Amino acid sequence: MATYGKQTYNYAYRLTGNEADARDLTQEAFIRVFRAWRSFQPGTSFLSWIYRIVTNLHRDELRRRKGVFLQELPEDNQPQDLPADSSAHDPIAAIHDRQLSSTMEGALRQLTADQRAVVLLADLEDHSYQEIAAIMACSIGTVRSRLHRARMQLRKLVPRLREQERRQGSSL
Amino acid sequence: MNCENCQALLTDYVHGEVDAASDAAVFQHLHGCATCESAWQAELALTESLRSAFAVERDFPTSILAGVRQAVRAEKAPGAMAALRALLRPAVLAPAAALIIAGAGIVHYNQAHITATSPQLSAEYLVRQHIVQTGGTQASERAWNGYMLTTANANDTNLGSP
Ligand SMILES: [Zn+2]
Repeated sequence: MATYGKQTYNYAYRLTGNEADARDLTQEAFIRVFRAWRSFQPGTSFLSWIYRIVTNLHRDELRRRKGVFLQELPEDNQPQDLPADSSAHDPIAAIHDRQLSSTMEGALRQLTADQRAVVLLADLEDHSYQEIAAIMACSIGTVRSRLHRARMQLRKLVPRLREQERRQGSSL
Repeated sequence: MNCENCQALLTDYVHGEVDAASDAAVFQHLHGCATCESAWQAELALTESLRSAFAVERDFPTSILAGVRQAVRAEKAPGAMAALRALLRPAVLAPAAALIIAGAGIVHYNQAHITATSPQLSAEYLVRQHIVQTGGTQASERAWNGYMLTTANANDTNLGSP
């Protein structure tokens, strides 16, 4: 857990974009690991298994929140900043969250949860398409098309967001 | 290979996911085509900016350990203790481990259990046994947190399978 904890937490952080959600996600994932320990097959990559749990939990959580919150959101708000208890009470987390809301973070946030996960797993975690397919329970073809689409989106979004930030006088 | 075919393969190419023949064909095409070469550079630049945007590695928050532990204890999940033990296996042995052995650890462990399950006694094994077997005590709470903290945030983490 010592080794995997940090990696899992960092993956969860990049997936959710904030500390509170990343903490909850990691904690819940490890609780599920303990619960399902007996059904884990030796030889399977342990980290892939945890990533799989985190990815699924994240997807479920987004679906749940979408149902609960989406209608109440003002246009310029980001659904992922909910719930309000996340960084509001933690000034350090709030600073980190601001730093992370870079152009790239903003662009990633506009992808679907599945596209975002594929990008993180392929480009930051250096997983093969086959490993990602196992984590996300989909075919290699689906991994490929999600990654292609996600990267195409990012190539369009990043310059657009940079331009927006420049006009708003941001130093980013 | 034409430009269209080449550009369709570029994402897979930069991720090392094309077969050897296509890989060679893309490689050759890139050397003779400025348009595709710049598309390839754009792919590389995108990966590079993703990596630098997320370069900061965060430390593992201790509150997660406490939360997991509390939940596992409350549930008394079947196999949970075996899971805890196995999960500790790939962990890097921390300096804190030595302190725990020198302290209360040796007093608490169950001799019969150890000889039954582990022919060779290592320091790391004893620490794990101590942590697992004194799972409910105040002292072990501290030992656990100390052990986990020093290992969880160690830079030279070891990526073996459990
Ligand atoms: Zn070309």
